[in-house]
Amino acid sequence: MNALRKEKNKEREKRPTRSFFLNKSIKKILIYLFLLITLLTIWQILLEYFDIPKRIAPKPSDLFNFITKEFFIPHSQGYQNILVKSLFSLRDALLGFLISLILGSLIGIVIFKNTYIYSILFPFLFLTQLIPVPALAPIVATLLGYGFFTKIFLIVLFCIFSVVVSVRNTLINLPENYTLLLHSYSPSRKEFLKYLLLPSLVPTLLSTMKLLCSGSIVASIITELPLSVKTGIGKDIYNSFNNQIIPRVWVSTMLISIISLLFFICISKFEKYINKKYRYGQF
Amino acid sequence: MDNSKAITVENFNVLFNGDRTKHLHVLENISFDVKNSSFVSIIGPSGCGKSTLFRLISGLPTKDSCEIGGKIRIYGRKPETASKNRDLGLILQKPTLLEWRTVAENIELPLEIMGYQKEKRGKIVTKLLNSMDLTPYSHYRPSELSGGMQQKVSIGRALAYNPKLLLMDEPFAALDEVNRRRMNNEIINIWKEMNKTILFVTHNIQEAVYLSQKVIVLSKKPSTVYKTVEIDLKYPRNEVEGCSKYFKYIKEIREYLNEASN
Ligand SMILES: Nc1ncnc2c1ncn2[C@@H]1O[C@H](COP(=O)(O)OP(=O)(O)O)[C@@H](O)[C@H]1O
Ligand SMILES: [Mg+2]
Repeated sequence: MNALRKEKNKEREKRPTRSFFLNKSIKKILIYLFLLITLLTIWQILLEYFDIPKRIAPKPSDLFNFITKEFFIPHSQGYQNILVKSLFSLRDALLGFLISLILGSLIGIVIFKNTYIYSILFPFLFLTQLIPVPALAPIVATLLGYGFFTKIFLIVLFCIFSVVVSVRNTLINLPENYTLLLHSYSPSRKEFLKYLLLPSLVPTLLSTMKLLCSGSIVASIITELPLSVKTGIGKDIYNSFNNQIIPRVWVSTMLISIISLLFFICISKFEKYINKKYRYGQF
Repeated sequence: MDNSKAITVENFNVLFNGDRTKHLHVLENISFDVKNSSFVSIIGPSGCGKSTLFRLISGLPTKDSCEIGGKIRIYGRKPETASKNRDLGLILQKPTLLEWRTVAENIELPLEIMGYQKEKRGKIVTKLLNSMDLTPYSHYRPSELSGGMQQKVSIGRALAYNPKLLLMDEPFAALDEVNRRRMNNEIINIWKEMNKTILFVTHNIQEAVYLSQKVIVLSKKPSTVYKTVEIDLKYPRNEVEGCSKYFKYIKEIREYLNEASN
């Protein structure tokens, strides 16, 4: 059996997958680049032909101008460019994301164990899904202040529901034979938690993390508007829009989209890696 | 305390009081005992309450809707106590292996939970893997094994902490005929060599006769002990499989099961 495996591995090594893969991805990148340039050119030509003003839709050249001004020309000290502001928003999103995961898992586990707490807590959790966070923001802000903590609180409020629900669902659907077997080894909750409950939550948490990637960033940006948070790309986009600096709005939006996408790709890769390597929670 | 009796079940009754199943009487006045070092099978029509009985003998928790009367003793103790005392090894219908652990780590699981020292665990697992011819698979994941092999690992896991009593609930029901026979021989070897007491739940008459010294036939719901058949055949049973006495037992139990199902 082992010999057979080694044979297979050898075969795999012989196959020229690596270089083939590289060739393929380079080709892909070139195609994308070509498409992008064509698109930008058409966009530029169309806007120039119809003479559409900058405040309605900026031309690619306007965007490039803005990018060089923002990133490649020195600014006064203490100036934060949009990348720095985006990273501040990302930091808050990440913090809310982590707190939601941990707190949400805890609540999920507790309401799985205790149906009484579940029946009390669930309506409130559900309410967090019904009320849009921006609408809730002023109320929370008057209660907790207009700063950082309120922002994190709102992000968590926005994200936590999906964590709690998916954790509880996973636990409810744990195969009974596994819980019984573990009980026969030890009726203690600690062992149950360690050997069955936590491992089986891993794939759920990973896929919930994927869901929360964009969710937490959206929440981070939206909550900046009603709050007096100084550094954040959401606030910046809002201010730029009010001051009619449209290229800045466009580039900022693209930038935060790219960051969101990268975040998502990282988590996806991480999910695949963990699930393949450790096989937690696969029954 | 009567040490010759591994299990005694006395006037055991189980009622389910679910929302839909008002007063579903599943087990009615069940009484039997299992002698130490013997191999006893319980056979009955499906849905008659074999698994319910199995669960209660194993000392596993029951649902709130489950109403119990009567008494079960394992070496004179309550099932929960016996379970805590590591007297019981459970083998369920599904292998119930953890996919995030290798074969060796799965066998190690109960030892880890029960707090054995690492060195001792390693020794026990190596020895078990060896004696069960599982060593080449020790680093495999459960899903990489066939159903029969998976069940074999789960038997290894039950043997790891050396319980006196093995309880099995239709462990080979999902296997094909050839593999089932192979596992049957395997389990008889374990029973003889390790001097275990085995209570084996099945719905397969052949299997019951092939394995056991005593077969308890349950009737359909509400189940009672319909008949008890002593199988007076010597082991290994593959040598007596062709003889008329063997077929007589099969025929006898089939008749009882037919009567008990009507
Ligand atoms: N938790 C439960 N609530 C209500 N009825 C149950 C429950 N568990 C089992 N039963 C009923 O008890 C009967 C026996 O089930 P089971 O012990 O699984 O039978 P077997 O293992 O012999 O096939 C079945 O009719 C089943 O519907
Ligand atoms: Mg059953």
